Amino acid sequence: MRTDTAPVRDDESAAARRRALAVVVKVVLAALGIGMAWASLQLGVGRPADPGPGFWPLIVSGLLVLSVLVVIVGERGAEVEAGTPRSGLIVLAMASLALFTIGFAAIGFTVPALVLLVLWFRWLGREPWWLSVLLAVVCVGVLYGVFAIALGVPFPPDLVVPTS
Amino acid sequence: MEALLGGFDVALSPENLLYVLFGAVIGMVIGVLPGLGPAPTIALMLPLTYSLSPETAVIMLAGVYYGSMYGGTVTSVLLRIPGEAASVVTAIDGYEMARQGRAGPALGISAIGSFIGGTVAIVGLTVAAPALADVALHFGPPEYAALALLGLVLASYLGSGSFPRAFIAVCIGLLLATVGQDPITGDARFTGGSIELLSGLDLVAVAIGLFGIGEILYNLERTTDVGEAVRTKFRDVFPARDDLRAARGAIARGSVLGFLIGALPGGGGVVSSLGSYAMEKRLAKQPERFGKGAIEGVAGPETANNASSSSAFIPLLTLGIPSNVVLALIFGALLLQGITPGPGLVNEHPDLFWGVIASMYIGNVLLLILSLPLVGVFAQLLRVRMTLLAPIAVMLSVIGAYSINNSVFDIWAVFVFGIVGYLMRKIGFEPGPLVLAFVLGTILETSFRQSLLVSGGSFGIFVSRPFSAAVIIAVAAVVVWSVRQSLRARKKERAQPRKPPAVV
Repeated sequence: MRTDTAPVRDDESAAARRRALAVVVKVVLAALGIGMAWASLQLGVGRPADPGPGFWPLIVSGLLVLSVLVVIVGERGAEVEAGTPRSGLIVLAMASLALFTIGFAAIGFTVPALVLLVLWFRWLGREPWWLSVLLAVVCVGVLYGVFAIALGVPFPPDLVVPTS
Repeated sequence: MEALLGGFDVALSPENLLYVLFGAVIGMVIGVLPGLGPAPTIALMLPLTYSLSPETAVIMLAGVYYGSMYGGTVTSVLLRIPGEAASVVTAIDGYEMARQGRAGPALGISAIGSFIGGTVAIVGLTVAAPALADVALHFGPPEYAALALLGLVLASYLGSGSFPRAFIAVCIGLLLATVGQDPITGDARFTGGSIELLSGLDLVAVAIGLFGIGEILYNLERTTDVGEAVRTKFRDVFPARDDLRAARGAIARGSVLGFLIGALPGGGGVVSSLGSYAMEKRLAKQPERFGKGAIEGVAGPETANNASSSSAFIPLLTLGIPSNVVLALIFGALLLQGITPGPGLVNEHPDLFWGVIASMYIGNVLLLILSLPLVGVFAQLLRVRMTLLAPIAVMLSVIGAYSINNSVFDIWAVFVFGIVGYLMRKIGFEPGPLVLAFVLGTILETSFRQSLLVSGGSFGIFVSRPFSAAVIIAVAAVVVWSVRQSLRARKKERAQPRKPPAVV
């Protein structure tokens, strides 16, 4: 299996977008540091002899801002990676995981897990339907067996199987 | 010696034997699979350790770690893709050897070297750890603060990215560790009024999110096609006498080098194998053979990374300071069990301390037995598609996170950290230093503030005590050196290709 980066068409405009994104990343990180420093001040810094709850977070926030500055001064390359044709699938995967979590809390483990796994094997893996369904059923069975039965984890009330 | 024999009593119990075998095999397997390294695997396994006894849990997780060092070689040699980060350099000469039809000896010498390196390091661990724990008993808060800081700075320096970038991840990890109650005053910090956050973010949720989901999504996205493995027959994995003679020196030097580097805070597999490769090349009579299938270039690094994965347990078991992200997760497993590792561990939990060490002797023998005749079987794992593994791993992440506190809140935490982990990799940050900092954050903050309370607010306390002063000087040296380097690198940056991102 190959895990090196897929060849990506990196024309002028894409390179410019990535450079812009790299700048955004640095600005966001600097803002995070400044925001955390402000929040630490709100908590109360105290004195070195009697440090308050905000004392340590303030120091760390300061170090964060400092590191971001070193990156801004020291680096010019766009360290941001380009998306690949598969990036869209990642968004889809995370969205379906969010739906799974909602379903898990509402109707238990088995049905949402089965649906999620079948779709993932099918969409992300492009496996044939029969293999997707078979694997999903086996996985759900094993996970249910290990966690709910062997380890006694109380899953939310389930549509299909009893839960403890 | 008696204590070690007691450890063997623990390690040889049928249950622990089973778990060391289980851990070692899992480690081998995930070492072979590109895209799954020891850190994500151990993160995924943390919830399962909850129901085990502490020594069994660590015995199993340790097996995963050093087992992955054996397994990582297979992918490097056959595919030129490191199965885990520490096997990066093996891909150079190992793959060349495979192309010349010598995959068998390359894998064989790696297994033998790994066994020797691992065993030498465990002997060193057996001798050095109790003595070091004795010394560490005299350490106070300033020494701990200094050591934790050194660990973070070295981890940033030795990581695969640039120092300031890794240090940004460290700072974010430290800030995440402050969420929840102040360890000294008890005030709520950065909880946004949430009751769930009052007890702090759960390490398991953070680690599973960043590694189990983020890392796997990242690798899933980049997986394009199944590479063509060098086809080979594995009958002749036992290296010929000439091969053994050629590799002898490399294995001896790799054992010592790996042991020393592994014992440093921040040290681990990658640095030791890179160091060994560089050393062998420099010492070689014909350095031009390197890159063209020199067996020393395989034997040395593979020996060193295994030695370092064993000696990396020294700082954890004697100081309670994990030296890299894998050890940080094992530290987390102990915390889940209600045990805080530190210099007292050897006296308070001798079964754990000596049982884990004894299990490593056994684990290395098992891995040698497993890897020599079965290397062909493990090579078959290369056919497993990432797209089949990823959904299973993600489902395991989610359910595992839920099982820690039986709360859906933890699933959402995993979800958020999954996105964070994926984005971090996309914008050029490693999640490893963040997780290490998250674990060390509480130790660092508590000992830092305790030091100031002791000294009445004077920062001089960190430099007036000889040991912490020495450590602080080391920290300062590393910071100055690496900031200078990264500022200088700016000029050369365009000319140089980017370093490949490591598989953690």
